Amino acid sequence: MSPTAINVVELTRRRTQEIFQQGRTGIFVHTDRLFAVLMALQWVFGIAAAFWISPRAWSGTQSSIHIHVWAALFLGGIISGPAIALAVFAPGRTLTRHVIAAAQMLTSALLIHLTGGRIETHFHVFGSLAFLAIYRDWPVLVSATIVVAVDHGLRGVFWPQSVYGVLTSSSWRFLEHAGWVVFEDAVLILSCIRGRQMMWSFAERTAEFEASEDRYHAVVRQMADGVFVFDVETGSILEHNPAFLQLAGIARRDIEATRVGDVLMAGDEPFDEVMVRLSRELGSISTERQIKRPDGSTIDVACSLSSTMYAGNRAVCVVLRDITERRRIDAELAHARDAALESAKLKSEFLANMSHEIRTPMNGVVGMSGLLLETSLTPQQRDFAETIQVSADALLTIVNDILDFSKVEAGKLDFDVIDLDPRAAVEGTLDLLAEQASAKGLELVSLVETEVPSNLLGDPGRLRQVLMNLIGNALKFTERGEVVVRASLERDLPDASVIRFEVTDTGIGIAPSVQARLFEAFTQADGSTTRKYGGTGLGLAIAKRLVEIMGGQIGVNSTPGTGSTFWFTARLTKQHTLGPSTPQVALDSRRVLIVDDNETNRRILKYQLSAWRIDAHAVASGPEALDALRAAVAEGRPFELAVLDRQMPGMDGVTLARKIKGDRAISSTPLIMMTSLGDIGDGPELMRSGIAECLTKPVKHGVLRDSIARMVSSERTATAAAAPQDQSSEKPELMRAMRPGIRVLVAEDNPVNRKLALVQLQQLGYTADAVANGAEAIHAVERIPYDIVLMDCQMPEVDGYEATREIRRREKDRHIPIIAMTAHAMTGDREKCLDAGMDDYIRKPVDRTALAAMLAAWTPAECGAAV
Amino acid sequence: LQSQEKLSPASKAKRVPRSVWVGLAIVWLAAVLGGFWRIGTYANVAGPAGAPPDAWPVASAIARDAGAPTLLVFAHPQCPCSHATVGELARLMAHSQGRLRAHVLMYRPVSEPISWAQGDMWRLAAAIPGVSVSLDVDGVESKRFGVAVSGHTLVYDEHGRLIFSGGITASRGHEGDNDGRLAIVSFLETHAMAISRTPVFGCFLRPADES
Repeated sequence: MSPTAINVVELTRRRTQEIFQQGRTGIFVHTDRLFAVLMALQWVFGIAAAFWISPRAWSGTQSSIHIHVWAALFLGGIISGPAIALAVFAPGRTLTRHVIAAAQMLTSALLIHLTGGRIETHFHVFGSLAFLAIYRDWPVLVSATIVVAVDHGLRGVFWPQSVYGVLTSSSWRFLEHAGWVVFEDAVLILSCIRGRQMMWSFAERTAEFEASEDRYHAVVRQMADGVFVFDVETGSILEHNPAFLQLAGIARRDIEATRVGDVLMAGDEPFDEVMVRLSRELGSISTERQIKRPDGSTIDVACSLSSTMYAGNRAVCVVLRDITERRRIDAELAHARDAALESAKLKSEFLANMSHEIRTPMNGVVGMSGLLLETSLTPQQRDFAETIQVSADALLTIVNDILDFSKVEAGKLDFDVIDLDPRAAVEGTLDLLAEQASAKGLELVSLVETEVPSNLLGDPGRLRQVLMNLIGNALKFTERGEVVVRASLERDLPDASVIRFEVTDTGIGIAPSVQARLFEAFTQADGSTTRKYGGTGLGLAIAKRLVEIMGGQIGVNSTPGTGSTFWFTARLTKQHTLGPSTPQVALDSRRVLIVDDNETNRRILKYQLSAWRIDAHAVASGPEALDALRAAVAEGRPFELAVLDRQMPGMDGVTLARKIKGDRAISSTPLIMMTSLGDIGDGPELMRSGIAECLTKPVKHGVLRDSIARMVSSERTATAAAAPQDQSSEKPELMRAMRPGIRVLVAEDNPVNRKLALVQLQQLGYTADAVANGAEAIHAVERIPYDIVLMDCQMPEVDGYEATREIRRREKDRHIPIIAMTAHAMTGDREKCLDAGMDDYIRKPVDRTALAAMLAAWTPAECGAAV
Repeated sequence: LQSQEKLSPASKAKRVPRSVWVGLAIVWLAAVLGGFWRIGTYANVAGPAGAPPDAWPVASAIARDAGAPTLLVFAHPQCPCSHATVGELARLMAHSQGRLRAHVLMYRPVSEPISWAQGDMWRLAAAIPGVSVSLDVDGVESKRFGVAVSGHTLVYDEHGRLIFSGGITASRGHEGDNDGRLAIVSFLETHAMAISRTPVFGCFLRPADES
């Protein structure tokens, strides 16, 4: 039993004792008073009896007051007086009732004497004992019995005839008399004990009831909510608490004569009728109403009501809570929310404008520095120009980060749901960062486990953004070693796959104290990090938000000085249709030797090859490779292919290739070389050393597979060996359009950007004109049949949107492609452009590659041919 | 709380020292015992035994039955104690079965009307079978028979000899077994009695100066 329970039991027991004592005292006091009256009456009766029976004593014709009259008066008074006085002035005391008991029995003795010892008067003794039993205090009976016993004993000895009616008495006679008294005493004492038990039981129940009442009061009476119960038929209030009176504005004195409907109205209906109707229709419900009080004021209340029974009648119990203040606060909150939304909208517009204002000059800086680098420069000038470009790129990254973060905060981040291949996303990201990794001499490798599905739905751009951020950070904070990107299937759900991405580096690591707040905005490991490595500290905060949108989590495990592993998960919906299946070339049981000094590379390559069921073996150096190749030949199971790393300590890849080709026993082994991006220029040397194909790190999964398939199926093209495929072909600057027949109109108000666009277009081989605002653009299009228009959106007088709408309104049989150029980057900008009639959208600063692709897409080849 | 308020007189009484209560109890007890002692004494103090003649007085106007013992009871009609004597007489007569002639002589002073003597006691006595009630004007007969106390009973045998003199109650006004009644009954049963004289409890038949 708990201490609280013990306390309650003890308190109840004490209260029981208290009630019991109060009850007993009440009985004692009441009975004392009864006896006071009785004894007074007996006294008077005794005097009257004496007057009646023996008023006078005679001597012939002379008489005097009989001694019995004096005895009745004085002895009766002496007997009764103290008892009456105690009953009046000290009722309830033990002494009082014992004196009363003795006096009562002495009165019996006196009356018996006054009546001449009549046997009938002896019944007064038994009647008195029964009367004394009203006290329910058996010791009183004992006192009375002792007095009777003493009286009878003395009389039995000295005057037996007065009590026994015989001249001589024996002890048996005394015992016979005593026996009757004891018999009555036994019955009465039993009755007293029983009565006492009943009183205790009653006290216990009363105490328990009081405790229950106290609990009820503690809960209901102290409630801040108004509680009341009303009769369904009459509407009269049966129960209520103080809070109800206050809430309903009813005076306590009026409550009994009050019907609910007389004082409270819900709209135009009496409140009780509304409550009864609701309880009948819906049972126990909670609702909110506005009620009108007796003074005419109205308050909003939340009502909880339930049907119940009260003293056998149907009733409804209602709990009312005043929600007027809450509703006022709600209204204020709604107002504040609207204001905040308006503020957010203004902020969004401000950001868009800021973005535009920053990007516009940045367009000039980035573009012009790019153009400058393509001119003939002295080494120092080139260094300056490159610094300008790097700084501009860095600034642009910061602007993009801030913009993205603003979008995240405003909840306006675009998120597409299109086909997504996690492998392509990882490899595409690695492609973009390969040069950065190569420049720092870092191994950048990826492993997308075979279980990871390729046909999923999501936003590849946002996924790449997160990967870019994490891998970029890893490269930034790693001076030597490697950065490994791993993707694995964490959970396969019926309609989705949860993919876990990990980026592990061997960088500086992060202190545990910093890890917890790493994903908060504007937070970096410490202030010195910002100074040393730059950055806004927003990248991880944005990544966290993006991951959360993708239904995943993000985190980091790191040991300072050893490196970090940033991880995140993404819940990506499965596509209903299967993705295009890769044509499978049988690679089963092909024997391939992997030679790489980097253990991670070896492990990943071996994993990939094993997944294709290739019998892959890995060694860590050139000499080990030579031994392995020779041993295989000796065993009669030569390797069908060797994949060599270019850079290895001791014997590098090229030397190893030469030694292999110089050894007749193993010279026929086809060789694939993995090189860094910076080594691509060494193609001819690689060809001479016997390399069949050269793959640039990080090697794409598909590229590697295709390359191995070609090698083992004897479709080798030795001439292709030194050419770094894929990457070189994607260089847009190497495929200039050279389409002078295509005429482009540039509408741009900023002179620098206008000039930049014209130079870029000239370099791409287009013929271009420029105008400074929308009005001029409209006129120019009317006068000259341009093949395409590059339209800035924000321009003075007539902006790009209005100009486009006007051009569209005026054009008849020919649709001229209009491409928006805007520094706006907020959600909806693209839609806004398309709604105005533009065909596509290119973001400032305009990248020349993107510009070339855009122009090529919107200017059909026959156009150029026709001119 | 209400009970405590009601008990406030008791609370005040509590302040009275215990010794006072004991003293008061003793005084009270003594007074009560004294009272009972006094009325007990009063009830048990007998009147003068008188000097009744051993032979029936010839001058008596009361008719003596020569064939049966004659019982005489002298009573004061207003004496409350003598009601018990009449009660005992009734028992005695019931027991005698006609073997006893009884006369109750009610004292009546000449100054009082007859009704003074013919009250409750007269009616009670007259109602007893075998008992004749007559007036004893100015106590002539009581003086003749030498008795002075109401309730004094005399029994003369058929020969006119006095065989019993005394009261037939054990004390004033108390009915019940008593030596007088038992002696008379014994005589009727056996013609012998252990005692022939008993104390008489009652009022004086005449004023003390006349006795």
